Amino acid sequence: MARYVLQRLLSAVVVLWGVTVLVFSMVHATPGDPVRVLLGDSARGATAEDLARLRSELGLDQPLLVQYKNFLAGLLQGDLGKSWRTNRPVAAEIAERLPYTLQLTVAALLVAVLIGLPAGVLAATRPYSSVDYALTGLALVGVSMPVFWLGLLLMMVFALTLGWFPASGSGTWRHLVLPALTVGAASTAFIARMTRAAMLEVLTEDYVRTARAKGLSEWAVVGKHALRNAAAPILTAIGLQFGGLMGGAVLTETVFAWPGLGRLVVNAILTRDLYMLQGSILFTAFLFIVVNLLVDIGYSLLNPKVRFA
Amino acid sequence: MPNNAAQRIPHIFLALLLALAWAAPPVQAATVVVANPGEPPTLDANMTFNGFSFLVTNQILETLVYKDEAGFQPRLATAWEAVDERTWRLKLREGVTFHDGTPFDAHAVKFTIERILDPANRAQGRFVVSMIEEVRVIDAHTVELVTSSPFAPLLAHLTHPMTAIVSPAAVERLGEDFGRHPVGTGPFVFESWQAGDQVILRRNEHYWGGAPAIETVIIRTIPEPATQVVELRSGAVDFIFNVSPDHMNDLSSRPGIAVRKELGWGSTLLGFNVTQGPLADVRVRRAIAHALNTDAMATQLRQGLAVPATTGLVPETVWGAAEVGRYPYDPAEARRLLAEAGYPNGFRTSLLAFESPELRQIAEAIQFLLGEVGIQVEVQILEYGAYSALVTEPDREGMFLTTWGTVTLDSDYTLYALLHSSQIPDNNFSFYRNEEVDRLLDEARRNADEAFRLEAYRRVAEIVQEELPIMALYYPLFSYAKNARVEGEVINYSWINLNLADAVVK
Repeated sequence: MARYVLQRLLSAVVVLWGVTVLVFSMVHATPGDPVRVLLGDSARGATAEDLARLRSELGLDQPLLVQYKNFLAGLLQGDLGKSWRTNRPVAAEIAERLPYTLQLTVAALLVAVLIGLPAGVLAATRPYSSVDYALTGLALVGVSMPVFWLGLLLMMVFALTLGWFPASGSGTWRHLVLPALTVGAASTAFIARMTRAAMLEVLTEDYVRTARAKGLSEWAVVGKHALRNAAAPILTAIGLQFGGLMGGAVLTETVFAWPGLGRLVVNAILTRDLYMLQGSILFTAFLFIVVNLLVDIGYSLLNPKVRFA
Repeated sequence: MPNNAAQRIPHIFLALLLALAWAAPPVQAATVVVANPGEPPTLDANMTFNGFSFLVTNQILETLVYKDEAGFQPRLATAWEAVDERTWRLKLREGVTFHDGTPFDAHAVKFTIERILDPANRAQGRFVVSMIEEVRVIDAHTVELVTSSPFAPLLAHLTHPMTAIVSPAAVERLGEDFGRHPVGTGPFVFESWQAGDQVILRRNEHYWGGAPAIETVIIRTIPEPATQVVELRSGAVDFIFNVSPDHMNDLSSRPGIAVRKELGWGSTLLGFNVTQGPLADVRVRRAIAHALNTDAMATQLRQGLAVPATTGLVPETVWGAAEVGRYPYDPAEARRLLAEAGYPNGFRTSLLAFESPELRQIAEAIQFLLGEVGIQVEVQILEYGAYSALVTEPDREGMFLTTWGTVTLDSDYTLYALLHSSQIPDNNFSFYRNEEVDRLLDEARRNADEAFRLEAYRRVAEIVQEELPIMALYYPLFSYAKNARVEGEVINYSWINLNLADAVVK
């Protein structure tokens, strides 16, 4: 087991290194003069010397390899650099936003599991019935509905018309409801579909028939025997969703003015805030990798066969 | 006669609403909520050049002077005079204290300006005051600003929000953290900033202009326009800015909501690289001016959120704007000029713009209108970094779209940057060189005589209209919508100048 974890850890480090290379080259290969973007409106009126001075102060006049080396050296010391835009350490900016993204992700996942799992089980126990069709249809809509549109729709209905929840912002649990539903919608649908498929497979197994033959209640058959055996793929699906949710939150955070990491990334892209962009993407990748690692380990605990594969 | 069920539905909703009303926090009457369309990078006005920052800092920090329709107005400076052509003497307001209790005086002015000038501080708007060579403290409430060469628009530059006076004691105490805890003399005192979410301000009970009626101002970052509109309509937000034409039309008919649109300091401009290809021929540029229906752009495309350009590159709100008229929309004349220039069948060229819904719309309109007279336009819309890299390339052939705010409200700010040959390629994307224009702009900078300066800018406007290195398509109006319960706000020239000092909540 320790060996397996070590292996997974090592490969996570390699993936992370790959991400640094990718992020760094993407950021630097994009056309345009970052110094001008950084200055924004004030580039109007700035002289060529001003621009050159700033470029050299920021180390942007050095060869790319040197810049990458400095970036990596800083990274190893936990230094993600300073945001050009705010002149504050990138790590501090991320730390400020992280709790909000985690709140939203966990709440969305909760929505997805609490709705998706029962819905999937329900559909699987009545395959090809009208309930099943209704649920699968709803799941299809959930998966395909653009986050942006769904967010505005929920806002119009629940904030403007009904006034149940605030339309945007943060601060109380009530602020969390609409964004969590929005982010969670696609995952709810995905988890419902995965659960339905996994359950359908399990429900035809011999031991389920045996359990039924023993005269166990349907509840015990489905809840204890079937669901437990279908758990592994469902858990993987949930784990994968966690990473996906953090990505999906980018748009939702913008729509709901939610102060999370996603908007930090968007802002960094729009303003070409290099260090902020590198740092926040890298950190998101790091979270993603950590979550996947945990899922892998959890999976191997559930299903010992995986460890030796 | 409606049936009973249909009649009952609204009652059910009403009951639900009432049941849930407990959950909605009561709105405090003296709290005003303002939507900021973006997150401020910092609240240190001296170190930024960002409108999202200025919307907030303008509530907390104050400039020496400001400008409205009647001209320069006193703020922290009460009187000013030119001692000689390089020296301005400013009398400062007495009895003013910063929010931290320290007195506002000549030392604070010197400290603030030198702070911006110090290259080590990398102030983004340093160029706004870079002509100041020395700040002399004459006595506690008198300063002299000495410029390296005569600089007539100096007072105009001191209206810029980035020159707002900060508390030296607070800067020394907080260091770089000042940008998270700004301390000034303004009508509202900084209380807290939840990054990405909101800034909370309380009224300054000791404000020199009298304590504001509004107790609390909350400035919330809400980037998405559709969300801003929902928040305004739901009553959670009182002010939203830069409202799109569609939303303006929708909101204007809603009870309890007031919309405003006014001519500000902005211009939307179409420029030409005058050194390359067919566009180097002034007849071709004039043909393009005739081919563009700028009236339709302002009234139809922008749906009345713009007015056609009549005063050269800056709107009439800007000091020194001169009436120059327009090239009338006349496709036949455009074709005639093109034929005369040797392009009877038109030519191919490009149009560069940076990403913005407005510029995208205008670029497409230009592409269509020029197509009508035979000019094939390839539109390139890029993010700003890529745009500025391309537009400053000397041998790039083609046109560019840009927007400009004459934030000092003095023509020098815009005309010098866009037209003076020393500004190639940093701001003069037209690569335009005209010795007479250079001389006029230099003289207008050096000479404090208003009549002389007005004449110089009038002449520059004429030459530009004649040679068309760049032309104004229209002047955008700045728009905002508010909850009608708030009255008495003052917004001069731009949304970033929101002033709630005298506003009241009904």
